Amino acid sequence: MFELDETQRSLEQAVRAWCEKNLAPTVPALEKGETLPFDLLKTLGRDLGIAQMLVAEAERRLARLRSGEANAGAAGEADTREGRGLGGDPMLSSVLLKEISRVSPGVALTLISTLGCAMAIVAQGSAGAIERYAIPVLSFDKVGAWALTEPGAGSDAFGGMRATAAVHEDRIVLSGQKTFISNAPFADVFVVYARVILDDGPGPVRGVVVERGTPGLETGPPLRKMGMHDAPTGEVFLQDCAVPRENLLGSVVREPSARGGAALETLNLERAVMPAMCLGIIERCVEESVRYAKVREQFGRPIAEFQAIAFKLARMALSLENARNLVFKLAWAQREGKLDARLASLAKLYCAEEAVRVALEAIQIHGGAGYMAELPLEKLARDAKMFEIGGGTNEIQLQTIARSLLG
Amino acid sequence: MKIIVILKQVPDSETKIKVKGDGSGIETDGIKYVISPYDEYAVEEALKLKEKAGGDSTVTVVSAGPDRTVESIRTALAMGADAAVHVNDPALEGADSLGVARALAKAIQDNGFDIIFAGKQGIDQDNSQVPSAVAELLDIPQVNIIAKFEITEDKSKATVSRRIEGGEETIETSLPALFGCEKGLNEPRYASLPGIMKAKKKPVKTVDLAGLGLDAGEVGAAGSHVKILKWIPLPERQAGKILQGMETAEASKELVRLLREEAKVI
Ligand SMILES: Cc1cc2nc3c(=O)[nH]c(=O)nc-3n(C[C@H](O)[C@H](O)[C@H](O)COP(=O)(O)OP(=O)(O)OC[C@H]3O[C@@H](n4cnc5c(N)ncnc54)[C@H](O)[C@@H]3O)c2cc1C
Repeated sequence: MFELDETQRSLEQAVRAWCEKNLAPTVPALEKGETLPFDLLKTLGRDLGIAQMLVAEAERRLARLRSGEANAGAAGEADTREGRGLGGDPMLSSVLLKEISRVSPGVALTLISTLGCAMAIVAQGSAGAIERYAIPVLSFDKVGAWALTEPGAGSDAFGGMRATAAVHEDRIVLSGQKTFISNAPFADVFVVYARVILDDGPGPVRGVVVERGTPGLETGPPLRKMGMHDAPTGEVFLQDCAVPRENLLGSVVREPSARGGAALETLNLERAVMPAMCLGIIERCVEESVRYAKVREQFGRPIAEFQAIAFKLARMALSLENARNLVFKLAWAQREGKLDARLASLAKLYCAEEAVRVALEAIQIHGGAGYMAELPLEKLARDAKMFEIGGGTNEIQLQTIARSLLG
Repeated sequence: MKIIVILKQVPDSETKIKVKGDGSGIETDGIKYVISPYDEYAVEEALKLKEKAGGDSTVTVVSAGPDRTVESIRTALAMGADAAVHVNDPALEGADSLGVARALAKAIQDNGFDIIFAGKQGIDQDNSQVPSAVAELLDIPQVNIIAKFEITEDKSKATVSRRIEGGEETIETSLPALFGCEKGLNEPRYASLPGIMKAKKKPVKTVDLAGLGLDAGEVGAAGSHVKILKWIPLPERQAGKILQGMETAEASKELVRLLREEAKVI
């Protein structure tokens, strides 16, 4: 349970080899914005057979929807493997994301953003929406974006949401603005969250699928930012943007289950994959630091022999162990259907904080060399900081954990 | 077509090899093992041939080594090979190239074969002997270090080329034959996730020397014609010397003197 099984280990090896050969040499160009990550992801999807698997899973769901449209209940049983990601084992997704994040957390962010969009459609969309929008994203032919955050609604994404989706008989009309949306400047398919407006007033918040090219949809240029340079981030503007009614994810009526509903579920899932990405950062930083501390000599001996450095390494190893255990536990919880907001928040908070700390310590251990872009550490540290903000800030995770304690 | 790949598991080329204190071998703790990189070209060429030949063509991996070898065998299966034979016998520990070749040749013969691919050499001991020995034992033609491979429509002949000093040598051979693969022959595919998941269900037959009808005393370490007497680590690099505070003329004189008298290279 605390070790990768043979399949997971084989995937780890394959992704590592792929990243060393294809991703690592491209990172400098990605960082400078000279190239975009999407073709690379397409190659990854093809070389490792991931696209093929994701599409096959979506097609199974599609077939079930189509055959079971008359008796919706039938889907229930077959759905148990669904939502567990690749190959029905959440650990496989974690391994994939961890390995990519060892080299570029930004590319991993691009990946979860495009897939997050597609998964939201697969989980909640009509057969038509899955076929038309989700499958091309899962095959990496198109790029997806998942748009919840607004200029005035970040931590309070649902309460503060201004975007609206006016429901008409045959179409939905979107208005509003989204910001800090990963992939937005280049995405082809957007899942935009908005408050449903019915004839008799406001309804629940729902996702709506919008394709680039739809009149009334505009995106801004990539925003300049601290890290994650290889994951373009931007704004989405919606003005009387009309889409077919079947692009609505879920029903227009408020379900008795908690606020946020499916969007919150996607958020939980996002929180559940981010720890694996942080683990990638931590693992790489520990390995690089141990290696360097043994060979870098000052005052006539390897710096590892100074207790100040050795103890840093020991603490980093502790973070690594804890983060790894949390990632194993998350996968277990997902398999057992026991993933709740508390565990997702707890793991995301811990792993994000440790990724930042460990990456900064790794820079410290490498001295001036660590600060230079020649080594991967300064990028890992800059990218790591995003995990304390995106997918819910540290403070919001604390709040969720506290709520679970105090009711 | 029955396509065979001979595969060897070796320490990853990035592993820092440490010789045991008593010189009896290398420290195996912490070594990461991988498919010998040249064998990956062999796997890829076999898979390409299978795709081209179609029909009921199969790729079977044959490998000799201890238990851990299974992991590399599974990787080849995940890349797309169909089945494997794993020759696993403690007596092979310390066998020479000929002994290993005898075991592999027998396993290949028992399995049946139309064509055999191998790496041009294992990157651990670099002996480059096993593939040639296997070909000799099976009494089939062999071409080693191939950088191009083509097969005729009726699959009776192959045309291969080797890079040689200042050019390329093209060789045509009848089949069955054995080919040792060189870097550049192809671009080995990755083990894909669906492939990895399927590999778990593919058959890996494990046999020992007795199971192959071979005599461990002859094929194994006991019958080895080669004995490694001692493993000696590379000498540590000596600290360099920098000539400082001298005029150029004086420094070059001193440099020549040191090269002649101390380094004894001129
Ligand atoms: C690189 C990047 C990519 C992103 N990608 C996406 C994406 O693809 N899709 C998407 O929808 N969003 C995305 N986001 C947005 C992200 O989810 C939000 O930035 C995040 O939820 C925080 O919202 P905010 O920026 O509005 O901060 P605010 O909510 O304004 O928070 C400001 C500060 O106040 C604190 N705070 C707020 N409320 C409380 C409270 N109740 N108690 C205590 N402290 C509080 C916060 O913790 C924070 O420290 C991305 C962000 C980044 C940086």
